[in-house]
Amino acid sequence: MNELIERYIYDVTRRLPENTRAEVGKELRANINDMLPENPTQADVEDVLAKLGEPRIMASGYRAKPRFLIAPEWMDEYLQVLKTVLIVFGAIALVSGLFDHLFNPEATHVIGIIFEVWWSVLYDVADSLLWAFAVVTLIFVAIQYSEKSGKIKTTWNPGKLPKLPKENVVKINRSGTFVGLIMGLIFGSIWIFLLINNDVYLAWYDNLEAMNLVAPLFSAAVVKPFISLFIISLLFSAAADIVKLYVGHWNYQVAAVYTGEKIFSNVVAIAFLNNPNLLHPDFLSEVSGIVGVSAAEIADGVSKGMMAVGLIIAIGTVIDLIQIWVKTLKANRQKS
Amino acid sequence: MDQTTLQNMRIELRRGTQTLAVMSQLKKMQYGYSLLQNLEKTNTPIEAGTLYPLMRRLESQGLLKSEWDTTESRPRKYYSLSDDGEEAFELLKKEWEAISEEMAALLKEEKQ
Repeated sequence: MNELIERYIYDVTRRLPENTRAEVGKELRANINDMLPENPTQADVEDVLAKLGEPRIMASGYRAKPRFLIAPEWMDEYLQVLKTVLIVFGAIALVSGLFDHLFNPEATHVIGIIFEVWWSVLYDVADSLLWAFAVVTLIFVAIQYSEKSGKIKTTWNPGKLPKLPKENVVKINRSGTFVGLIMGLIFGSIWIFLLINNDVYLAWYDNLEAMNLVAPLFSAAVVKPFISLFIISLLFSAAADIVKLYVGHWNYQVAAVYTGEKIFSNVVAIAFLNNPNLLHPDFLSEVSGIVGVSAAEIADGVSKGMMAVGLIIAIGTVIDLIQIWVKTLKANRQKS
Repeated sequence: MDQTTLQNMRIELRRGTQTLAVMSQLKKMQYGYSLLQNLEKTNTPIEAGTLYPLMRRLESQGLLKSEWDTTESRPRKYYSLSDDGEEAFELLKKEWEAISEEMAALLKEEKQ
């Protein structure tokens, strides 16, 4: 008995249903022996086995029906649903994880919190994606199974055809908007978190372990009213993104909401940056002590810089809004 | 045109005829390897890795019957058409004749 032949037969039959293994094995052995000359050499055996081909493929030939988890005719639907579900669940896990770990951290200092948030959120997202993948796949397998076994009959008629997409509209890039929404929520909430705890996180320490405060960066009295403004701005921009996602193309209403949101959030940001009392006097005097320039001169330099930043933001916003309105007006004029 | 696509089309076209070719040779009893050689001789070769599973599938569909011959030193499994198999073969043969006539007419027309 040749070991190589037995290994081949084993590799084919182990992939087959238990009750057919013995019979297929016996038949395969007989066929292989027929193909071999009298007193075969090892090379003869290898030759015949190579002719028979890979056991995996041979075994699939023995099975009467093709096997698959997701049938080819379901594949498009499956991938589309999977994509949507993964994005939505990943995003939900990302945002909820961030809120959860950012606002209830177990670690006590900044570096620890950053690591904790990073790894816990990564874990949450991966966990959620795996679950979503498994559940979607199982649901599709169940649908196909019940369809095959005749438990549910899916009848198609022309009434089920989808509507044609609207013509002459400027489409909003949904995935881009979605990414923007998620990023906005993440960085917006981090920013608000930092502002709320600005005395801890936005401050100058000369010794991180001992938390020995030199000077806070911002004046608490200036920051406080801006916190609620930034929260409103964050919610406003999230709402505008949701409107964009829901409508899916630029019309007057969407453009108006977008314009309102952009003006509001940029005015808040510019007002914040250009507030003359934003930087804490202690901070300015500490810096002036190190660089040897007077605190007033530093404050002046910073305020000039901030004015430039504000100007750039304002110009960028105006250009953006003009583009949006040109697009929107053009598309909606063509339609009427 | 892509060579693999062409090759796949050829295989696809021939695949349907393999069952008919195998059944045509099984009015009398044959074992796997003898059938393989027969088909090779008649210029309709089927690869061993395709033929053996195909015979077994036809048997499980009730179109072939089989028996083991253990009298010789090498045990062999002999296959032949079952009653259902003969009926199916006659039907498929008629179908094939119809197809080849239709196709011949179609392809002749195309030539002109």
